[in-house]
Amino acid sequence: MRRIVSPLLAASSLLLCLSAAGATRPHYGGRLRVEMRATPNSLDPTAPERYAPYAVARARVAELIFDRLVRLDATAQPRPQLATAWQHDAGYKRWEFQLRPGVKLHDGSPLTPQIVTEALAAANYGWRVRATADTVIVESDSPLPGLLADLATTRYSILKRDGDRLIGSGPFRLTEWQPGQRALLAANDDYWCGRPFLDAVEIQMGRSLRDQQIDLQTGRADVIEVAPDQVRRSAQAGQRILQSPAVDLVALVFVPGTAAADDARRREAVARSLDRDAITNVLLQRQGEPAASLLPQWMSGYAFLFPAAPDLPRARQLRAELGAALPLSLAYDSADPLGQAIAERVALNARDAGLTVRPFGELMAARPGNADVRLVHVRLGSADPGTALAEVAAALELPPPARGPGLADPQQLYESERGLLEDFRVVPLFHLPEAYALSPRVHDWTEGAAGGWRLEDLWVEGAP
Amino acid sequence: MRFPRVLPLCCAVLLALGGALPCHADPLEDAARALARDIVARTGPGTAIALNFRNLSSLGNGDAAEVRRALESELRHRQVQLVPAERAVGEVRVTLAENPAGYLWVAEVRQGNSRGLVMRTVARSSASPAPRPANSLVIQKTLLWQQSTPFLDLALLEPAHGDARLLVLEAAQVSLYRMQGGRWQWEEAAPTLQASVAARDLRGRLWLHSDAVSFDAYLPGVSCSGTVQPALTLSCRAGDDPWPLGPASKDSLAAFYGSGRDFFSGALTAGNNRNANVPPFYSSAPLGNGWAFTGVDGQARWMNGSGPLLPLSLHSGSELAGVASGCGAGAQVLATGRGDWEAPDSVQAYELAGRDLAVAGPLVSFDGPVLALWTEADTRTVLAVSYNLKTGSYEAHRLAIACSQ
Repeated sequence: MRRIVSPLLAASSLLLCLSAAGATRPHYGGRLRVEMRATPNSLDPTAPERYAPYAVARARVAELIFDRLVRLDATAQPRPQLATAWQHDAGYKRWEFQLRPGVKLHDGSPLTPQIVTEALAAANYGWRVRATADTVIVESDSPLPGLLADLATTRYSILKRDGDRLIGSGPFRLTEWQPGQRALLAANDDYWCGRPFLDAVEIQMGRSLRDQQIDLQTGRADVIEVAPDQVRRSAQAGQRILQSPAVDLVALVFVPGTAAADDARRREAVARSLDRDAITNVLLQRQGEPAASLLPQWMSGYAFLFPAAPDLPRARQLRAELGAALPLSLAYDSADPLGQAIAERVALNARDAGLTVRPFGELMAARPGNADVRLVHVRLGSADPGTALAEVAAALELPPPARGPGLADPQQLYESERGLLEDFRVVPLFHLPEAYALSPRVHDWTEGAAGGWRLEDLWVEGAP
Repeated sequence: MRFPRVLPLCCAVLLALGGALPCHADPLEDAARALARDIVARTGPGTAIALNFRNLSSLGNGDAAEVRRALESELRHRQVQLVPAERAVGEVRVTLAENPAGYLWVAEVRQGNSRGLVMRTVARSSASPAPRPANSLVIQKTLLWQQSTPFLDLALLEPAHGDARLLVLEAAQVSLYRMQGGRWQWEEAAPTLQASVAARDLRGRLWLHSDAVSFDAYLPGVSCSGTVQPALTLSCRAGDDPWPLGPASKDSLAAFYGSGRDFFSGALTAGNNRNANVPPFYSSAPLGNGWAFTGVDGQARWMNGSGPLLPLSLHSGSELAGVASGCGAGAQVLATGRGDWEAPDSVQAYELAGRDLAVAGPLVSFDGPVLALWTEADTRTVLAVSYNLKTGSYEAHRLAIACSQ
């Protein structure tokens, strides 16, 4: 077995979780009020959630309550969290994790290898997971070179199930949960990584963007969401806007089994007709990055190799080869404030190539209806490109890509991504950042490498 | 070549100690030559190619130009002819890009109908601050130390005879380094006693005794005593002993630290069982005949004798340290900026002017938050521990004030 984290890390890893304190040191106390549009009904990180906005909202809250074995730092390298050291065999089929001693769950009980084992096994039925006295062993018939990055995602949150209750060890504990409406969290005084500066976090769900703006302006909210096309306007109005890296993939997905979408030439013709720059500049107010790749440039470094510019002559040539002109129905999420405008623009571009695309709105949070193509959002949940690509592929029902250990071989990752896109089943449009407006009393807002909240490092002014 | 632009740590420390600079490194040039070799492996030697080059990364234009020069030099060295597109039999498009792990350099090689791709990852390196010219009451900043993991305090032991030594305080241990052959060599480490509950904004203090071989270390809820000769020893115990605020004498003033928080409770103690109370504070510095404090409530105050606390118009951050520079009024207070942790920081010197503080000279910038300021044992310099947002490393700088020119 090759040990890849030295035992010395175990001694020093406690410090890795401690924040870099501010030039103005953080203040303890206070309640942070957060608002969001989504209305997730569950906090269970392992429960399937097909609708991206709910999955993202659930992950945001889950990150506050549950720890993982490892986390990724700003350079997407794994760092100890509940695991202090780990080792694997040469084939990446057997991993052993040393657990951090002395960690307590929110109900006061100690974190045990058995709890970790059950949590990991529930998250991935393909693994064989077992516990020893103070370690957890994960085995698989196939190599798991990207396991560490996978374990850093919320899917692999470490939690104890007590009936319907999910008990974590994270920086905040859940004190009130009204599904789809409200969550109230309190600081975990015994957090192994140091008590958060905040006393409490209150999350209001199902708030429209308009209501969120009003609440921020009237001092009833501290953190609200801002749609991409409103970022510039909000900043010009003097609001404090913070944006994540571009982590929201917007793409067209052709539905298999429909006559209109099953001809690869028709799919390619639509892809070649797209003027992504115009959509980004006009509809998104330049807040997104036009992309023909699944992974954004900041994450992979090679996204520029996927040509994103329109190629109308080629699109028209493909259209001519098609013969009969079957119209394509394009579904967009009627709850997405930009969905209709983007879909109509796609239809306009396609028309320039001689294709007929008919947009219509549907409630994607409910059961989706019939469509040849869907305009979808997929949130990149990891800064590790291998893990992110695997997650995107799973969300879009593409074949799982070949995995290497992180960024060790970007060329292999590029080839995998190219393979996923070559049949034009999925046509990326752009990557969007997440944007938030913050009240002036909020300090030290930080995010993970791929966005997400780090509210344990945040503090608010005016706390008692 | 202009490389290296990075001043290796050993050089910085030698500068601090007045030593020579035997260091050399040019990682970008090496990487450019390696990329050229990969390209030639695709094109074959003697090929006439058109080279297109662009930089999409955060690498500066000057460095990108140097990379291009090194790349072209190596290609020519390997008999590749670089020609205009109309005379070329192939095209190589080189893009300098990046991802979270580092730079990613990509070469797209096209010859006839064949297409090839070469990728090379290149580690990012840190940049060193340029030396600042002397100016009126200017703060001079010298890099002493940097490491990738957090540390809380650092002490440089510079005996009149023998090798210089460095003590680094981390949450779990104190490490000892010795300067040998122009480099800091790790000697040994001794564990501290971890507090039962971690503090998120952990702070700590190393306090040197005048013999320059023994020291005390303070962490929330833990006090340690140690020596560096003949070997590193450290004895720690749980307790809430007050932390000395000044560098010179433990009897001058000490304060009780709020365990589990990131500030002092405000209870003060001095020699002869003299006690006092001020509002909870983050940091302090000698000022006139008294002490200045940065309160947790954001208000800076001056405790001057036994009178009431006086408010100070100090528009600074949380950290303060005193420095007996001999310049200007003779002593100054250095204070951090007001920004949050995600922004660059600065340190500004102030002098006592009547019953308040006034800015003295230009501020000095940091590439990230200054986490701690402590006056060093000689009282003439201040140690600043900071987090570099550009490189992700934790750094210690020595700050000194230079007098008017």
